[in-house]
Amino acid sequence: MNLLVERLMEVIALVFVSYMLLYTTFLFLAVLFGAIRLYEKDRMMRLSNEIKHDYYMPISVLMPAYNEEVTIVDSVRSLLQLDYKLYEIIIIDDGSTDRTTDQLLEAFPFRQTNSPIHRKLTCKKEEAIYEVTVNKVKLTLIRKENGGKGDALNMGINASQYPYFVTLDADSLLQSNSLEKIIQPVLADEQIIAVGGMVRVAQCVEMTNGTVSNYRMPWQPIVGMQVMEYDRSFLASRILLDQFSGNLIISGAFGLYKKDIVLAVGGYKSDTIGEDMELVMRLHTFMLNNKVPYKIRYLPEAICWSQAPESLRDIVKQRRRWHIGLFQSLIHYPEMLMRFRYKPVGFVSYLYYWLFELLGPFIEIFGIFTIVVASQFNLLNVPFMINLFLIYTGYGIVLSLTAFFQRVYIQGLKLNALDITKAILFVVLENAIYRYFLSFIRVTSFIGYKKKRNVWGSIKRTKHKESSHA
Amino acid sequence: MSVILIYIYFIICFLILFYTIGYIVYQRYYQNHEARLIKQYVNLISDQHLMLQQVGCIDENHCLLLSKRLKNINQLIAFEKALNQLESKSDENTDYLMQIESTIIELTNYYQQLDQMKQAYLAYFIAKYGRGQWQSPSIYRILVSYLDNPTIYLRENVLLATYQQPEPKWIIKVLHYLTENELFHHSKLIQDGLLTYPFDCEELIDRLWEERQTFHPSIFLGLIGYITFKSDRYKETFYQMLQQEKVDLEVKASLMRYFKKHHLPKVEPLLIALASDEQDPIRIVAAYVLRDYPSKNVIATLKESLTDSNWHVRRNASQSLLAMNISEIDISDVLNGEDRYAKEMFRYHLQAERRTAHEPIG
Repeated sequence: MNLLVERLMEVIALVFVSYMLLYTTFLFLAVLFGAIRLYEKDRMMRLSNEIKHDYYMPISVLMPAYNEEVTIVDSVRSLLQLDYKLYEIIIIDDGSTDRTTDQLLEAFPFRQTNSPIHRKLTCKKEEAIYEVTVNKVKLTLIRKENGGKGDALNMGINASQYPYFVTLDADSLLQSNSLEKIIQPVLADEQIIAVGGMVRVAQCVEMTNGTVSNYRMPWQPIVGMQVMEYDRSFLASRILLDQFSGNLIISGAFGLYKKDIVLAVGGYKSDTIGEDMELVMRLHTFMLNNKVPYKIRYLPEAICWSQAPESLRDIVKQRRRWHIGLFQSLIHYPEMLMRFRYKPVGFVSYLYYWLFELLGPFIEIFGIFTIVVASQFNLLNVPFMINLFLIYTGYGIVLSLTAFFQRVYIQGLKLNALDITKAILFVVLENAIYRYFLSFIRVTSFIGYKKKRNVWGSIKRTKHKESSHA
Repeated sequence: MSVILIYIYFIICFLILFYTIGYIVYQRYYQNHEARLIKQYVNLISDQHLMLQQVGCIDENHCLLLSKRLKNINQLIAFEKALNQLESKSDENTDYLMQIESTIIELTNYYQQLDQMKQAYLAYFIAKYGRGQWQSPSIYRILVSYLDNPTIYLRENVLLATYQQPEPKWIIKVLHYLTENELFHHSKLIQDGLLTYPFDCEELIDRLWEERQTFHPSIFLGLIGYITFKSDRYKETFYQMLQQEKVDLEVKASLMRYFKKHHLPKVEPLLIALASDEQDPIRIVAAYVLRDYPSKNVIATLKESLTDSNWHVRRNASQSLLAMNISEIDISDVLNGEDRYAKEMFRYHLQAERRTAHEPIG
C-alpha cells in the first residue's frame, strides 16, 4: 500500500513541480516584459512620444448601475470633470431597488424625455429616460427593467451616439486624463478595436478635480492585499499578453470599444456573469474567423480607480462571480485553441487562462491536500517542502513588490516610510495566506452556480474619499 | 533542477526589484536636478533677451554652449521647459529663437545618429518652437531623413515640425513617404496637423491638391477635411467630384460635408438625389447637410427621409427640418402622419428644441 502511495506521490510531485515551473516561468517573463515595457513607456512620456491632440474622437461613456445609491452621484460628478472635448455620459439604472435613480434626479436637473432608442441590440425595455446637459456634457439617465449588467450595457450602446464607447463601473473614478489616454492608441493604429485601462483600488486615493491629490496605502489588510494583487495582475501579466494582443479580458470597470465591431458581434451577452471577458473573447474569435487584422490593447497609463470589497464576505461573493465568469467564457470558446492554436492568443493566452487562472486554484488546493496525505504516510520531506514553500512565497513577494514599485514610478506616486512598510506587510500576507484563501474560494465557487448565473454582483460601497467638486 | 531554475528567476527578479527602487530614487534626485537646470536655462535665456534688446543679437558663445549642451536629451528637455516658462515674453522669445537657428541645424544633424525616441523629441521641439522662425531647408531635409521605418510618434512629430515652415514641399515629401511605405496615419491627425500651418494655407492647399492622387486614402481624407475648414475655393472642384460615380464612400461623405460649410446652390438637387442613395452613410450625411439648403423641395425630401428605414437618417432629417424653422403646417403634417417611427423621432427633437429655446442662456 505504502509503495503504491509512494509511487503515486512521485507522479503527483512531478506534475506539481512541472506546473509550478511553468507558472513561475510565466510570472518571470511577465515581470521581465513588464519592467522593460514600463521603462520604455516612462521614457516615451518624458520624450513626448505620444499622440497628443486637442480633439480626439467623441466617446460615449456607459455606466451601468444596480443599487449604487452610495457612490453614483460622486462617480457622475467626477466624470463631468474629465479633460476631454467631446463625450456624453449614459447611466443605465438596471431596475435598482434602492434610490439610485432618485439620487441622480436630486443631484442633477434632469428632464424626462421620450428620446427614441435605436434598438440595434436586444435588451429589456426602458421605463424612463432623463436628459440634461451639464458643463456642455450630455448626461442621459435610462431607467430600465432589470436584465443584468450585459443587458444594461446593451441598452447603453443602443442609446449612445458616438463611434467609440467606454464602459465604467458605477463606483469608478476616472482621472481627468483617462479618456484622452485610452483613446490615443486608436489614433495611432487603425486596427485597434478595443483598449483596456488599468484598474486601481479607489480606497487608497483622494482626488481633486480629477487628479490624485493624495495617495496612501490603506489600513485595512483586506484592501491592502487587494492593492498588491491588482498591481501584479495589471502591471505584469496583462503587459506580457499585450505584446501579442493576447489579453482575453478587458475589465468592465474601464475599457474602450469600437462600437461598430461590438454591434457586429451582437453586443454583450446577458446570460453570462463574466460579460466583459465573454465579449473580448467573442471579439477575438470574430476577427480571427473573418481573417480581419485587429488589435486589442492594454494601456497601463489609462487609469480608473474602483472600490475594492472591504469585507471577506464581499470578496468571497466577488471572486466566486469572477471565477464562474472565467469558466463560462473559456468553456464557450474552445475554438480559440482548436482553430487558432498557432496564434499566440490561442496557444499562450487561452492556455494561460485555462491552466493558471481557472485550474490553478484546484491544482494549488490539490497540492495542499497531497501534502497532508503524504505526511500521513510519512512520505513528506519536510525540509524540502519548507524550502520549496519559502522559495515560492519569496518569489511571489518579490514579484508583487516589483509590480508595486513599478506602479509608483509610472504614476509618480509619493509614498512615505509607513506606506512602504504597509506594502511589504500586505505583500507578505497576500503571498503567504491570502492567495491560498482565494484559491479555496475559487474552488468552491461552482457550488450553487446555476442559481446565481444571471444576477448583478453587489458589494457594500463606501463614499469616495474625494474632493472632486472642490 | 527546477529549484535551481526558480532560484535563478528569483535572483533576476530581485535585481529587477532593486533596479526599480533605484530608478525611483534616481527620479526623485533627477527632479531636483532638472529644476535647477531649468532655472539655469531661464537665466541664460533671459540674459540673451536683454542682450537682444541692447545690441540686436545674442552672444555667439551662447550658441556654442547650446550646441554643445543640447546634444544631451536631458539638457534639451530642460531647455524646452525653460522656454515654456518664458512663454509670456513671446516677442523676446521669437527673436531669440530666430537667432539660434544655426544651433538647431547642428542638433538635427547630431540627432541623426540617436534613437527614434530622441529624434521624435527633437521633432516635437522644432514643431513647438519653430513657428516659421527656422526656415533653413537643411533642418527639414534632415528631419525627413529620420523617417527610416519610423514609429508613429516620430512620423507625427516630424509632420508637425514640417507644418511650422512655409515650404509645402517638405510636407508633401513626408506625406509621400507615408504613402510609399504604406504607413497608416489617421486622417484626423493629418487634418488637425495641417490646421496648425501658420502660413498661406491657400497655396498649401493648391500644392497638396495637385498631389492628391499620390497620397494614401487616409491622407486624402484628411486633406478634404482641411480644405473644408480653410477654403471656399473648392466648391466647383468638389461639385464635379461629387457627380462622379466612382468615388470612395468616405470621400463622398466628406465632400458632401464640405457643402454644409460652403454653400453652393447648384449642389442642392444633387444632395436631394443623394438623400435616396442606396448606401446608408450617404443618406445619413445628405439628411444632415440639407439643413443648410432650405427650400420646398428640400423640406419635402427631408419629410420623406423621416420615414427612412435607417434610424440615423430619420434622426438627421428631424434635426434638419427643425433647423430650417419649418412652418407649423409642416410640423403638424409630420406629427399627424402615419409613420410611427417618423413621428416618434420628430416629436422628440421638437420637444428638445423647444426645451433648449426656453432654457436660460449660460
